[in-house]
Amino acid sequence: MTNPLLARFIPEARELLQVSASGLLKLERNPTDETAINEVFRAVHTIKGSSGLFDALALTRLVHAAEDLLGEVRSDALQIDSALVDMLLDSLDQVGQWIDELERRAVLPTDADAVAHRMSTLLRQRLGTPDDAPGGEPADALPGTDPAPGDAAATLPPALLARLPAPACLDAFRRACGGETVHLVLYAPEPGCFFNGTDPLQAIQQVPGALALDIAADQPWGPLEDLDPYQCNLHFALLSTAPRPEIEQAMRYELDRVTIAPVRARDLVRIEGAASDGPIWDDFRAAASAFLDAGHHDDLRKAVAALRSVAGPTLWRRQALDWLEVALSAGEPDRDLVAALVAAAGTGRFDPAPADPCPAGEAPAQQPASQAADPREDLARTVLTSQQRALERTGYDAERLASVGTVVGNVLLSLGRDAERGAIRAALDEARETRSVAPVLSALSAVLDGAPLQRVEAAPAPAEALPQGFAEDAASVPVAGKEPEGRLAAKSLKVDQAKIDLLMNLIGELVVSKNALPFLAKRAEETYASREMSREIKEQYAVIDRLAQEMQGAIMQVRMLPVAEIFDRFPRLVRDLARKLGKRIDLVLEGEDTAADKTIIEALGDPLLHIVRNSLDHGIEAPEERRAAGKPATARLLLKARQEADSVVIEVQDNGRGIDPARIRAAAVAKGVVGQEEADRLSDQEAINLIYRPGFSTALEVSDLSGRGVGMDVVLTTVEKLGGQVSVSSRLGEGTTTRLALPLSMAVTRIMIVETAGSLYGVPMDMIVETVRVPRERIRMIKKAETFVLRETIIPLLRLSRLLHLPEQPRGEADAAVLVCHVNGRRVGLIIDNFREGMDVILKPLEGVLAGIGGYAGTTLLGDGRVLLVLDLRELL
Amino acid sequence: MSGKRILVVEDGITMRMFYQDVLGRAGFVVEEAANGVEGLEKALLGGFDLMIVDINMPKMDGYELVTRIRREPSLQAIPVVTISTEAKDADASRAYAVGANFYIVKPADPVLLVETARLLTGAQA
Amino acid sequence: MAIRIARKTIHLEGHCTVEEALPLLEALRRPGAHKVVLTKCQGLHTAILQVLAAARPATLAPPADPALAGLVMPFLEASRQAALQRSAPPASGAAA
Repeated sequence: MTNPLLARFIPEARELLQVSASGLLKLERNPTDETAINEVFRAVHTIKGSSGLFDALALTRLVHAAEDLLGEVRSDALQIDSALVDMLLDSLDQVGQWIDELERRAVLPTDADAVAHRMSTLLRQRLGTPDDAPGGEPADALPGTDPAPGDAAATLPPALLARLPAPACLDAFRRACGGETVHLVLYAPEPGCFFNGTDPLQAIQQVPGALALDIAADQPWGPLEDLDPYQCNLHFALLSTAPRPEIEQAMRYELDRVTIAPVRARDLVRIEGAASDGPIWDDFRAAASAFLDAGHHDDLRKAVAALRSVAGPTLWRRQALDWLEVALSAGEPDRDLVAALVAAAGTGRFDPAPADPCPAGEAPAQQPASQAADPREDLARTVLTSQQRALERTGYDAERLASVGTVVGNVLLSLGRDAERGAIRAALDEARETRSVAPVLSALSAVLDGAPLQRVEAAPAPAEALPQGFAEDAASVPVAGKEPEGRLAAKSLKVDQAKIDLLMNLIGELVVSKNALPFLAKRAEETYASREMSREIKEQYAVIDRLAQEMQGAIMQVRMLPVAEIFDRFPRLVRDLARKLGKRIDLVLEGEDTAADKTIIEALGDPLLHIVRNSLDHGIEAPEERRAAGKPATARLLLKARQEADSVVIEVQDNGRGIDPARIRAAAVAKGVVGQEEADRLSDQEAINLIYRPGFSTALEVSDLSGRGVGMDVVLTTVEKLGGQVSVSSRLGEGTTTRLALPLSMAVTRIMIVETAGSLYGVPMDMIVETVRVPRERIRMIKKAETFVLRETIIPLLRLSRLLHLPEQPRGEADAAVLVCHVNGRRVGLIIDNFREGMDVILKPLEGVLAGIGGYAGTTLLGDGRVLLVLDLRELL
Repeated sequence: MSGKRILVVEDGITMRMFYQDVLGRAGFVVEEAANGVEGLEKALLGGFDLMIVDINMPKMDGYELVTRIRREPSLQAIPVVTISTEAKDADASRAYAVGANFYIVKPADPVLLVETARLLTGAQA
Repeated sequence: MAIRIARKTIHLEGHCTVEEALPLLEALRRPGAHKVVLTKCQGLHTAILQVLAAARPATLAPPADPALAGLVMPFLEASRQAALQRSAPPASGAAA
């Protein structure tokens, strides 16, 4: 993904989707929760807004439908219910999938349009409005495309002109003659556009200033049997008085299917009626031409009015007079146009392109629009008009006048119109004195009615001046150096995970290098016999050690994530599962703010999911069963996190039927997990623990929810791999509590280095209970196993060298060095050759071929460059 | 490089980056605020030539923000462009009514955005 | 449901969406003279409009809403005229 803007959008969208989903669940529980609806609405709204920046039409469209629905909910026009929540959640899920797809391939899948159409139609059905709300079409192309050649005036196809209603044409003509720019908008929708939710009729109706709309079939209609109602076969033509930017704005999602061009007044002339002849017309022509040549417009107007009053309104020539009258009513009649219409009335034939080509310099003066092809010009007009309208609406208002003054002044400054700036400034002063907006309004009108606003010499060079889009340009983010002093620092940063990991690795290496110092101190003392040097090195080591630990702590804090990261998934999950299973569950989350290392949090997701599913599946009873047992029909499921010393403890507690030890025993025996004899010996608690044995599952049939062939043993394995512990307690009929305890952080492991058979190994400190030296004579043989007694407990002894299949080196009469460890719930003593120092290490897992070798938790680098294997005693024993 | 300073008040992080990118390239200095309250705070620090304000924001929405801006004597004259995904006249009218000088519909065309910013700040193309 | 069919009379009411184009087309495909009543129609999707244009029902009651009627009726009437002209022997060419 090379587009940095998209790279920013993806995490934002994911976060917002999560916010929306949890907000929806809150709403479902409490439909009047105003905070929740606002939160959801805004999140969805923001996704929509940002997605419009990308080529993700379907996504924008679907989110838009969801937003409209939420808007109705927010305004209380629509009641939220579970079915609605389902629909919205499904839509958000779909959006989430598309986000994933955008991340992978930067484009949406090919079926996205169809999916968006289907889903948004469903959503909109709840809305009770047609598929496309006004302005509801999704972004279609990146902004900035300008399909129309802008500067060329359009000629109306005669067939089109003939279809437009005459009064509308006359109206358009009147406006064009009066100096307004009339645009012809030709819109040829894509045939398949219905599938991406476009309703062309709806779209074209959004164009402001419409004077006339023509609809026509693209291809002649064939037999009805062959008609495909979903292929758009219509195209549209619209006359509009709106400025080009407004038209483009209205049609912004269909810009590539639209051409917009100004229409010349002469092209709008449409005369119908019966032919007529007679000297009266010839006389008119002669007189009118003379008036025209002399520039006597008033006389010409009178002549036209006189003839109109006598000629029958159905006559072609009389209608020509109607148009002529309109052309003459303009402040500055267009001479050529008037001449052409005079000729039309005189000859009974209208030639829209007069024989005498008008010299270029004299080009239609009534049309500032021919210059207005420049978007800057149009925009400036729109901005100024907006100020004018705002002033008209508010009347005299000193506050308003202040910002309008700035804006108008700046626009004129930007365009280099210094003279007008002076006029406006004077008008503003006058307005303040007289407490009236009138002077400003008239000054503004003068500016707008005057010659084109754009300073000719300052014509922008768009190719250089305009932004070039974002793709493939990571350097586009403004550099800090460019920013002014006093820039406020951002309060929080979003940092790429990889950067944190890199920092983590660097600190890991620092820790390793630091660990070299004790070796150096030892060498200073032993090899160079310098105690003082040794002591100084040790002092330095202490300082670096402290700093390294602080750094580690700091980076650890950065890696800390709240448990909410995984807890937040559960409301949705529990809700969906509960509905599927027909159970009623009240999920309560506690301690979501409890934080732990990212690795732990991420790894916790699956085990927790398993436990929760198991609880829903097997623990919690159906409502009837609960009622029969005298319990409330709605069960309670509590997910609770808290910090205990260096661990994060997570409990999953339900008030379901509990685990029946007798059933567990029976099932375990039946499945061959344990023998009958062993089963009978087990305490109830031990029996319950059997559920974590591989191959055990109490479900009579594998349910599709918690089943999938994976047992609870996976939970145990995963949690233990993270250095955590799992325990279950249950009371029959009252419920079950599963408790997971995990280290807050797993990035650094404290190990003890031990020596055996001449090699060094690391043993994780958290497994070691104590280290003892046991005199030979206290080692007793029970059967063939060595044991010793430690504070009245018999501890079995194992030789590490034997476990590792290393040659044994008998140590004679010396005491045995024994590492007492707590492994798999038992205590064992490991006989080693010697204890060495403890240290903090960053464990690197075994990779490649070595990854398959059991018994090792990973490797780490020692200060002297040696690689140390760290043992995984759980696997080894 | 115009060096004109624009304060963008927008809750969407992607949209903020968009403004930074488009307006930054065109030579503007772009400051960001993530909600109305922050926007007002930064605006009051002064020194901006233009504010671009999103309508739909948490804490204090665009309408409210513009209303408050206009109540501040030091901010009465600053040009304000409001921006929203809504193309409805009613939304635009409301924005103008509370004191906005221009109304743009999201997603804003980068060309239009830059041109608007130039015109409203008096910057040369 | 915005489409209501009573024998040969098809009522389109409220806002007619793209989903209703197919049922409408199917109704109009049945043999016989059809009457389409748009009186209570408040808006229609392009797909509906083109089905009506292509099918040229024998009778077409315009929408009561003048804006909508002004929008769609000229086109629908023109489509029916075009059909009449095509089925009739070539009319004498009207002066352009």
